[in-house]
Order: sequence, then structure tokens, then C-alpha cells
Amino acid sequence: MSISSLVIQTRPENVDNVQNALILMDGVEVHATTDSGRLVVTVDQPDNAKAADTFSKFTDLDGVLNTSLIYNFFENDNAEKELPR
Amino acid sequence: MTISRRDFIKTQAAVAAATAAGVTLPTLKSAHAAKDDIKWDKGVCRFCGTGCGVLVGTKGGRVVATQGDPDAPVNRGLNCIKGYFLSKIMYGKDRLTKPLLRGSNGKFDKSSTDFSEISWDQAFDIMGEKWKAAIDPEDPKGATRVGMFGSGQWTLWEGYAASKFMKAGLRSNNLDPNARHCMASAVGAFMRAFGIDEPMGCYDDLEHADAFVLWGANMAEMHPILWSRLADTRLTKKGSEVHVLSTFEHRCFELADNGMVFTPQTDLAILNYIANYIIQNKAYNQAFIDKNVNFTKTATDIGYGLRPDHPLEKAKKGKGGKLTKISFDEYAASVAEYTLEKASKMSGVPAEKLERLAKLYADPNKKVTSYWTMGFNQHTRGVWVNGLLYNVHLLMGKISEPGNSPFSLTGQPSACGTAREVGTFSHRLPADLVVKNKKHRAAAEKIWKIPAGVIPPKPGYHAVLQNRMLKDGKLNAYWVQCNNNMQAAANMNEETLPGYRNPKNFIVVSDPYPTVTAIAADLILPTSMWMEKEGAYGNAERRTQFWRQQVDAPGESKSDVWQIVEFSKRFKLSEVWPKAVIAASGYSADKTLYDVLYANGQVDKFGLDELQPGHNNSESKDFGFYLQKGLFEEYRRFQLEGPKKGHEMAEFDAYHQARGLRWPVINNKETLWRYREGYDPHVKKGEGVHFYGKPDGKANIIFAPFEPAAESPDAEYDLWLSTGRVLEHWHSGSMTRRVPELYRAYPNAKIYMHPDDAKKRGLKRGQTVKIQTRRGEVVSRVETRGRNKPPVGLIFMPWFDASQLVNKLTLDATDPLSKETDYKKCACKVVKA
Repeated sequence: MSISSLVIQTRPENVDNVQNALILMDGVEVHATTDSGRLVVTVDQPDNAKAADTFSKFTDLDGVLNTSLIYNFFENDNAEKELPR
Repeated sequence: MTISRRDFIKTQAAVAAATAAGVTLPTLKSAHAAKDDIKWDKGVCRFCGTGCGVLVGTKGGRVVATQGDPDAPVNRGLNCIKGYFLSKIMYGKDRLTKPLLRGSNGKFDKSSTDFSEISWDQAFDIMGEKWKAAIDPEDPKGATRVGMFGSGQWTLWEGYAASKFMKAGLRSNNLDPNARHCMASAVGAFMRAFGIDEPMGCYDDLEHADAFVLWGANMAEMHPILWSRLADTRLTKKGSEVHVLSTFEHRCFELADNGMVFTPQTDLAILNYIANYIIQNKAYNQAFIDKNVNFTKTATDIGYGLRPDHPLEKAKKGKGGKLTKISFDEYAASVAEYTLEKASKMSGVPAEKLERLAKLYADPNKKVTSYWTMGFNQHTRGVWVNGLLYNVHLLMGKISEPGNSPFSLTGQPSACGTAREVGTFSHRLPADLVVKNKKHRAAAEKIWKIPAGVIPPKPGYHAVLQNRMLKDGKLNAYWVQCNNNMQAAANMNEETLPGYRNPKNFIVVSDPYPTVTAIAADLILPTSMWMEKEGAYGNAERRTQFWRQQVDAPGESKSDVWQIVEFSKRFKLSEVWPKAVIAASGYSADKTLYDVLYANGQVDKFGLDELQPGHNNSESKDFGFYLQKGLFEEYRRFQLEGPKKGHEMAEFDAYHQARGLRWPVINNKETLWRYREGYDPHVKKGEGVHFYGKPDGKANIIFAPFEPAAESPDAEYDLWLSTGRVLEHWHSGSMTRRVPELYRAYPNAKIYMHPDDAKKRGLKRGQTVKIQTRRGEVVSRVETRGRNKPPVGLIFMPWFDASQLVNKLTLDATDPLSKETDYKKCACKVVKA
């Protein structure tokens, strides 16, 4: 399980277009947008490699100026066993 | 795994992002308070010079998570993609855990391609033997055959301990940091214009400015967090604008109101045109100039920092950086030839775009912040071009106040804090002092409690000269810490590799990983990194930030500072200092450098009882005293007792509490804008602006003309080659390429090329090609789309990829003043592989 959150910066006039493109992507949710063109987004993927692939798609979207990654939680079956509790 | 746990984590993630974006998600507020069993503490990012605060999460003795620190004033909870995967940089599968000696069965053999494991004791035995063989204690020039290459990624105390070990211990100024490759031109220009290093402004200018101008900085990829703050201002502040200048189009152009692609090297002409425009239109700030500025010109035709027998060096007529005072009228006459028509013709930038830029600087009602990084610094006229931009800001008085800021960005996390401030350059001592100044040496010798005459007065070998001297067999015992210079230095095959493999030389490399540099060494020392030690970095805005050790290093890894201090035990004074100096010192000749430099009653002053409970401190426990605190507090004496004011820092403990403080720190209060009354405590009431780094309190406007690059395209090598970085990787990739997600995001280097240039050579996108210069050849692939769009006649290739060593191609031409290499300009050709 890989869950991440991001802030995506767009030009304000592009927020809607970017939001529409984002919600079509697998595992991507948009939680909020701002008048200044920021979107609050989470990405839910089976692993971090797939998550990273998703992030790189964001940067290629028309109107996206910048993406900042805020939070990541990653866990696989082995990790649970490796780490002493 | 239950659905509710997944939802809970997602909620936590969304709240964190919303907080960073300045939005409240009302229904989700409560999630933030929930606890997990990860232990969090404040830290600083390991990568660039931005200096983002990160929260570091540990569990079971490992760093398992990081997140942008919401309380950090620099990044306010944001992370870039590299920072986001920070938790993985220490856990690459090929982490080194034992000292490795070239040869077999613990026996050294320079010609061997194998390494065998040895103990630390054996490692220091052979190092001691090689170092002592290269040192003649009676040599009046000091130890010129030993050297050290350090780093802007060293912690403050690592750089300080190294500076003291080399300059006060071994009596050698052959210490230079890799920051020579990235910041030296900026330093040179600060000293010439202001007499004191580092920017006058700070990141707060990102919100105060009305307009931003980027000169050779791709902030969208290299300083993404600052870019995010800049973008926020541009999109929310009415009338704000962004101008971007580069030799190729990159991601910053997406936000640019005025994007300009110019022919390499013509930034010199553009800046003189802007100064000329300001003068012709009488837009300059007469009162500011009269009170705060001297006009000067610099020596010209000064060569290209190549070997003395190179035709370009033989052809030069001038030398050095001597400044001659001139009048305002003489300055005005010097820039007069740089008309709009001329600047446009030379640079290839349309006249209306250049004029728009000039008008912006000339508008007294627009607050302008200028940013630059390697486009200016890695330039054979780097000191000049930095200075030409200060000229523009000084003519208008647009400096040292909120929003009006010429700001040199840095590439390494402690290029400022360590490389520059603690004196790791071959000509420097701590706190801006220099070895060639007798008073400065005396001040250092007093604070260090060593006799007069220990520190050699002549600057040592700088980075590029170190490689040349290794090749020539004049530098024989050499230690590289915390960087990957085989991959990073220019002209690798002709200059770097021959020196490392020269049978006369013994090369030691300290690194966590088997980098290109490490595998070229004779002895590799496994090294602790980042959160495996207590550390401190100084970022680009003069902010000093500390962190505590969070985890233990793997195997027998030891930190750089431990290695330096422990190695100092191997030298008796009689083996490094002249007999007369020892006699005058009052020290016994049998004392070790450890006794004199570190167990000197100052560095060992603070006990283990002062360590923070709950955190290990591996080095201090080994030596029996709080090493980091002792080194820092001794370093602070240079700021408080030394001959130059303006570098004051707070006491050690204050930094473990604060999210960093910007020096000068007076009475625990940091300084945001220097040289201006009301902001800088060193400027007295009624002084207004005072550039106190200079004896008369005035900054220098320095005229410098256009001069061509060292190597330009011709009929055979018909393209410009520019090298640089990409968002996903940091510098040589020794850390980021070991993070699977980042590796996957950008696995290998490629060349960005204009589609017409590709077509002309019969090349298709994705095709394998050879890039050739007069110095070597590298195989890569062609990219004609994507984030970088070069103009016809120029290609861009990133240098992070150890499987495509672009520095086989580059020319080791440097700025003769700063000795910094120009990685942005040489001539190449591209053919089918």
C-alpha cells in the first residue's frame, strides 16, 4: 500500500481542466482547490513505483507549473515483519 | 489491512497537503492528532541549498519516513520529489561497511583491480605512512604534497575540523571543497563588490518582490520549493511578473511573462545593455550612488584558467582581477557601446524582450529580485557576470531591502554554511578570513592556540589545480570526502583519472557508496551519512540549521568528522611542524595533532552529560566529549573575536531549538536584510545603507566587457554542449539513483536536442548517438521533446548518470578569478552510434 499527498500548482485559469484530468487517473483523488490555482491531491497505489509513475504524469499535464509532495505512507507485506513492533 | 486504516492514512495525507496549501478540510481536522509508533524529530534535507526542513520518522533503528516540516519557514511543509524519498538514501543495497584497500589480502597494490577488507587501524596505518612520506616538517612552504578535497555537503563541524587539521595541523592549504565547482564565482563577486560573502537578502523576498528575473537558474527543477513560493506570488499578486533568461527553454518558461533564450556567453552583453539603458534614461538612483557606491573597472583579457601551455593562456594580454577606480562618466562611456541593437544582435534575443527587461529594472516603483545559479557561476567570466548584475541593482539602489534583492542560489545543502563560512577553500580561514593576510593568520593562530607561523601564507591548490597536480605527480597523498569528483570534475579522461591512477599517488575516498570516485581510489573508507550523525548545514539565505543523530550507521561506517579527528592522532608534532616552531610553542614534540587541535581545552570543553537523552552521538561517545558542540563553539570565537564583523551566530544550543537562524545573529535575533538600517544591527542609526564589508562602507560597481567563451562551436564541432541537472536526481546521482522510485522516474541521461538539429543529422528521437568533443566521446540517446527545448545549435545533457560520464567531454576551462569550471559551454558534435 502506498498513499501520498501532493499540492499541485497550476495557473488559476487551468484549475478546472487539471482537476478533470486528475480525477480520471487511477488512484487519484482531488480533495480541495484554491483560487490561487492549488489542488490538494492524494494518490493511492499498490506500491511506490506506481505512485512515482503517477507523479510524473502530473508534471506533463498542460497548465501544471509545479508539484510538491507532502506525505507518503508505504507498507508492504515484508515491511510489517521486518520492523520490530 | 482494514478499509478504515487505509482511509485513516489517506485522511492524514490529505490534511497534511491541505495545511501546506493553506486550505482547511473541516471534516478531517481530527485525523491529525492520531498517533502512530513512528518517532519524529526535526531535520534538514540532504540535497540542495534551499535548506528545507523535514520531519524525520524513525522506527526500529531505521529512518522509515520523512515529511516536509510544516513549522519550517523555508518550505512550510512542502517537499520536492527528491526530498520526499529522502528516507531511502541511506539504504541502498551496496552500502559500504568496511574499509577497503586496493590489492588483495590486506596488502596494497596500486596496479590491482581488486579491493580487500581491512580494519580502521590498518587503514590509518597505511594513510599515516603515505602522508608522512609526503611531508617534510622543515619545508618553509608547508606540506604542499598532501591535499584534501572536501564538500559543501559536509556538516559545519566536519568542514571546520578539516580546515583546522589541514591548515593548522599539517600546515597545508591544499584543502578545497567541491563548492569550487558551483559557488566560487559567486563568492569572488561578493568579495569584490561588498567585501563580505553571501546574499544580503533572504527567501522572504519571494513574497515581497513585484518581479522576478532568472539568470541561468532553472528553479522549477533545481529549487522546486522556492519555485513554488515564487509561483504563488506571481499568481496571487496583481501586476507581478516573471522574466526568465537561459541558453535553452526549460520548465521555468511555463510561468514566464518574458522568456528569453540567449546565445551562450552573451549575458555579459545583455547586462551591460541594461546598465546602459538605465544611464541613457537617467533612471539611476543618484542619491544612492553618491552615498553608497564606488565606480571601478576590472583588468581584461585574462585568459581561461587552462594549463599555462594552452594556446589561449599564451595569447592573453592581461591577468588577474585588479580594480581601477573610474568616474561615473567613465563608467557610462564604457557601457555606451552596449546598445539595444548590439545586445539583441549578439544574444539573439528580440529587441522588444530585452527592452522590456531593461525597463523593469529601471522602474523605480517595481521591486525586483534576481536569481541565478550555475548559469552565472559556471562561466569563464563568472565573477564578472555576477558583478554586472550587482551593477544593475546598485545603479537603481534596488538592494538590501524587502523585495529588492540580487540573490545567488546555492546547489549544495551547506555550500554556504560549510564550504564558505568555516574556511574550507584553499585561500580561506574561518569567518571570511584569508590565509594571505598576516592579521587574519595571527587571529586564527591565537584562537587555535598554535604558535605564530604555522599557517602557510600562500593559498593552496584549488579543485582544478589539485587534479592537475595529481596528474603531474606534485600532489601525492590525497583525501576526498563527501563528494564524487571523478564524475564531477571536467575533462575526466585527460585530467582527473590520470592523477588518481598515477603510481606516485595514494588516493583515499570516504563515501557511503562505491561511487565512480571511490572505485578509482586506493583506499575506500565507509562513511556515515545524514541522520547517522549530528549535523548542521547553512543554506543559501544564511540560515544555519541543526539536527540530531537519529539512527546508527551500518557496519563499521564512521562519519567524516570522526575520520579526521581520529586520523589526527597519527601525527606527532615533530612529524609535521618545524623544530623552531615547536620550540616556540611550548608544546612537547611528542604531542599529537589530536592533543593540540581537538583535545585543546576548547574543543573538548563540553561533556557527554550535555548530550540529548534519547539520541545517540557516535563520535562524542568515542572521544569522550561533546565533539560537535566543542567545534562549533570554538568556530564561533572567529565570529566574535576575529577581525571581521558580520558573521555572528547564536550559541550551539539555540540551533537545536530553532528551525534555523539567519546570521548575523545578535542577541538571539536573526538578520533578514543586511546593510540597511532597521534590519541589520551592524548599521547604525542615521547611516541608512552601509556596506560595512568595505573600509569606506561603499560597494563597488565594476565595469567588465563582453569577452568570448573558451571554446565555441566551429565547422567540425558544430554544437554548444551545456551540462546540468534534472529534478529527479541530485548532482552525481550517488544517492538518488539508489532510490528505486527516482531511478525509475529518470533512469538514464539523454541529450536534449532541437528537432531540426536531429533531422539535419538523420537522427530520430530515442536513437543511440555518440557525443564527441576534442577530449572524448560518450554514448547517449536523443530526446527532441520533453521538459528542455534547446534552440538550434545547442544540446543539453545532465551529469547524474554514472553510466554516461558527460565530464569525459567537458573542457576544464575556468574563471581565472574564481577558478570555477565552465560546465555550460564547450563545442561538440553528435553522430549516429
